[in-house]
Amino acid sequence: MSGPEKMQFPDGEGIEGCEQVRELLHDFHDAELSAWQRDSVQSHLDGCAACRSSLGEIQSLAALLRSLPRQEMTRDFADVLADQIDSSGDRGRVLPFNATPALIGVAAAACLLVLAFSIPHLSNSGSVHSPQVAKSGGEGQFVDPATSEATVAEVKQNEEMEQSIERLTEASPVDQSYSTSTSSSPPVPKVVPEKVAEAKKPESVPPAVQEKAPDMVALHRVESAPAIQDKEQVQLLANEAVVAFDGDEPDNLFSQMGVGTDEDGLYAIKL
Amino acid sequence: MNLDLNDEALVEKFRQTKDKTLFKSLVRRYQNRIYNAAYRMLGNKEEAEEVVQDTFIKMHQSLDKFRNQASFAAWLFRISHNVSIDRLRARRRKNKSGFVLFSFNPLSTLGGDGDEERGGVVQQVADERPDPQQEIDLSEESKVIEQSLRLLPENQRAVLILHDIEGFSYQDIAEIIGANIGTVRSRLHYGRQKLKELLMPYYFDTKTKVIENERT
Repeated sequence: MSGPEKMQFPDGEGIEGCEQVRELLHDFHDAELSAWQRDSVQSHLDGCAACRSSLGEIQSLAALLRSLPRQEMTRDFADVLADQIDSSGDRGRVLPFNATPALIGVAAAACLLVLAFSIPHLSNSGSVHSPQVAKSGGEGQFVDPATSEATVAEVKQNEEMEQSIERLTEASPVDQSYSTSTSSSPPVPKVVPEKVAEAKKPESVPPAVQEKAPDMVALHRVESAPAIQDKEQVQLLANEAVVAFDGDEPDNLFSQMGVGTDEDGLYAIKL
Repeated sequence: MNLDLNDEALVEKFRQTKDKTLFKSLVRRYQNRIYNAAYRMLGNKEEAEEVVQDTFIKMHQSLDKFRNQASFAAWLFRISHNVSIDRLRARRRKNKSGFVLFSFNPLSTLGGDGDEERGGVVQQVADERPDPQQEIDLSEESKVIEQSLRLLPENQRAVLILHDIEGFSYQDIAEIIGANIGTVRSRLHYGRQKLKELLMPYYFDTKTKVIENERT
């Protein structure tokens, strides 16, 4: 016999008046009163039409909820679940069915990592549509994509690659840097890795590079627009520190995921 | 026969023998009840199925922790309730930067415990709306009740589902949601009052009908 209402009306004390009775009507309806309380409420109800009406409303509501059609599963999970548990061992971890998106996410993460490492080498050869990169915690500001690699070591490696390409092709390096995300002016080259702030130091950064860029944040660049086709991949991107996307939006997908766009139509997820 | 055993005996026998058929019996006894409750909480059939799967997988993983303090049904529904609540929270997190639909309900004047909305509420309902595709077969009355139920705060909705639809006692619900009986009572009362307000335009017509149906 716990609960505030029952504490107010312990057995043996009079339950008088409509106000007191109505406080007990839900419990009365739900058969949660003691025998003594139930009898007291019942005797009041016998002579009070207003309280009977209140009880009728409670009964009606409960009946309406009970009247909802019961939903039944379209298939029997017993065999499938038993097989899963059986195959995972007696006390082993059972892989939930809905872990599939997570697996897809892991696979996509691996792809992204590969992209993050490989695309810089390819994109330096002349892509006009270098994406801008939103920096985590930076109020949506876009930062220089030339500095947006997973590690400073990568930046260094990219610079070396760029130089080697320059030497081989004798072409001017492709500009991939924009001053801000919303700027409508022509892109302004800006390579200032040390200004990429609010970040942890990568463990593998050489001391010399650490001096140049003590607060380098781990950023990823994604240029594979056609590869971004489904929600799981976008969710994966949302788990990354920084994501930029340059391409056509697949079926309003990014808007549904809460991804913003700048004036140039470039999409970015800010975390 | 497994059918002859009560839940607790079935669980005990499964713990001893690890017989898969006993596990299947438990699943078959409860999968539709859990599915129904999860569907009422989440309003989505696919998610409700996932809740069923997650619930039984978690049940299997933690069956050794079941000590008969509560009924097996209450223990299982506690797992299911937590899975459903986790999903609702995940939805909220996912949609935080997304679209939010606001509905102003001038009839709503009742609050509840905790952090529920009060007064003429502006509430986030984007996730609570039923999938239109899933409503085709429902009668108009059921549709109205379902939609009204989904507009309740989730802690009141959960208690109403567990009590008025699944038939659990206050004590069982307290164990399922991890609260005391006073909280269960309070949520049930506020939930019913709020549901009554929401159903007010339809209520008095149906009330008479329902009571008449009950009497016949």
